[in-house]
Amino acid sequence: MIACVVLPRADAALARRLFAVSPLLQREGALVFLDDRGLERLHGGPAGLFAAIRRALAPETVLGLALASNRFTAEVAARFLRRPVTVREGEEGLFLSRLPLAALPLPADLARRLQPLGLETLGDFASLPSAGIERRYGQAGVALHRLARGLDARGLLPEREPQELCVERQLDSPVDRLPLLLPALEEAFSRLCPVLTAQGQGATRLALDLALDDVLPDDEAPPSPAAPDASAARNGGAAPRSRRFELSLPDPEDRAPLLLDLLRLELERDPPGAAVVALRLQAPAVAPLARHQNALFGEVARDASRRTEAVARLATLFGPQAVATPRLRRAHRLEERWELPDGAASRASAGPGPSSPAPPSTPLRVLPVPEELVPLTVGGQLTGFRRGRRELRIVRAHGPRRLTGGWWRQPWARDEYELLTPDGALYRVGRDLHAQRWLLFAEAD
Amino acid sequence: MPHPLPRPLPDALLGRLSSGWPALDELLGGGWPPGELTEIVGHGRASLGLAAVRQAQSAGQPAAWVDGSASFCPATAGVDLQALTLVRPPPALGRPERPPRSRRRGPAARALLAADLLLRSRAFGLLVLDLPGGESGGAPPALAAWFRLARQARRAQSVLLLLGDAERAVAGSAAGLTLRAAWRHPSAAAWEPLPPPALEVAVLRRRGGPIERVVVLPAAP
Repeated sequence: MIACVVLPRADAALARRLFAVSPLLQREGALVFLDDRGLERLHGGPAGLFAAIRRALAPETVLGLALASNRFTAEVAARFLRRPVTVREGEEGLFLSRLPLAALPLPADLARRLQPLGLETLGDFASLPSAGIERRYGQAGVALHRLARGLDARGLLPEREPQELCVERQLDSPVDRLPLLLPALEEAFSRLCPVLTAQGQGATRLALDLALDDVLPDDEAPPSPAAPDASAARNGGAAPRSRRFELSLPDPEDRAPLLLDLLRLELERDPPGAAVVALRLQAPAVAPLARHQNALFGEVARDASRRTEAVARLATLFGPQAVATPRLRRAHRLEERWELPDGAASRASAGPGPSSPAPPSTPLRVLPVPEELVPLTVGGQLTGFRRGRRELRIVRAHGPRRLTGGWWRQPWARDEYELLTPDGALYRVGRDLHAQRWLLFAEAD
Repeated sequence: MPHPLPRPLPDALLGRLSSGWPALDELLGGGWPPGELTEIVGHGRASLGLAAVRQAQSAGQPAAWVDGSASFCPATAGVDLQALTLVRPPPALGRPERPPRSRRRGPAARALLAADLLLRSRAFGLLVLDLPGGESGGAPPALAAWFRLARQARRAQSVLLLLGDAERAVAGSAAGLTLRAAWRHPSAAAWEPLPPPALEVAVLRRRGGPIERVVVLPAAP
């Protein structure tokens, strides 16, 4: 059975009070439909259901109330009769037959075409043959004809009952240390976050109100958020102090461990200052979570916000320069052909650099600090280098390519060679013409 | 009668990342395997890693490069730097000033820590871990550390390429696939510039597969 309640106006808050009567509720303007299937034993039949609806709403806000086996009959009964009506199953056609034709949601053109027929009630319209209705007025006419006969197969599209995004907790005894408060916070998050997740929402703002066990003069005591009675009694009736901690999050978040960590850091930075006797955790602002749908055999969708979060963690761990994006620039020396932005806090702050070069044939590995090589000669001819304990024997060499620069500040000049060793490795070495020493700059990799 | 085990899915359906060279893709069974640790040793390993980054970027998959050896050359990488998450763990600090906890580890351990953190985010389709080689890298991480990293890659379903030492593999049995790369230079007259080399790739170790195959690739895919 479907109940229909007519309210004075479309009022979501008023309609939501009816969740106390039935969990399946649909709003349509000033009309509220309730599905009472399975609730007969709870309410004790139609009379009990009507009483429950009147208890949930103020009596003057109920303009119409009806219970019927289908939605159209319940709606028409509630709108046209100002008293509670129950239309039993099988009697819909009879009940509707006496109501005016205006009860049908007739389109203007169809109403104009029906007017010459002299129809006045729904019963008059229902008595017309179905075949003729279809032939003359098409499928729209057939649908209206079925409604006039009390046949309506439409169900409800119930909305979800909104859940309060707030958790309150009274502590057994005043807690004056953060490690002892954390389990209570963790428990509060374990209740709040599943509600957020179930709604597909994430918190963008988080507020924690702590009631503190401390007595202040009355003129200094701010109002308490949670008003713990035990604490008030302990303080001789004085209102306890409270502290409010707020977090603003860049993206909607529903992960309890992360939110707990952020709140812990906030509490470590700015301790409450007194023992905590009660807490209230709420999410005053929420937004839909970004969700990804992965294909069964396709690639896994990657979450950009998690990527940003991972990079931010690395920046915290290693410093912002560790995750800065290098910018390419023109320079003679290979090791100067890029730079890291000064004070780059993240990849996002790095400005657009020159476009990436075309894929080179051999990428290079540039040594962070050029490594000094010891030349090996045989008969006055250079045959190789000693690099640490290893010996690089030259199979082929190409060069030199003389590079100079810095004459206005710190002059430098070097001859660069490309050396091939027997194992196929290709090295870029240079002879510093000022210091007269051989340096290894890069290796092809 | 025991229920037959389900047959594994064809490799082509498992979202493998192309290497950029059809011959190497054939050797790898369709491309770089996601959810596995693949180690590459030898000269030319960075070329394979950079080609994988280019392929991931063209496929719209986020890629990260952990430059543990501090030798990444942006000027010759040939990848979209703005779209690449490049992480350079800092060098160890000296003894007098007490470094933060994260900097007390060795270079290899710091690179491993960064890779672990990136994989845990499950936000990257490709992660290339360039490990410091030789004496500068200190003691190589224990085998258990590689197994932990491989597990993170499996959970994230990310392609994890480990560019290890130039000469020997370090991840051992934690790697599902171990390749050796080497440059092969064609002969030319002494006065001519060095011609572009070819890249020879051989399978050193493969879990449950043949290892005897070798392919020779042009340097640029």
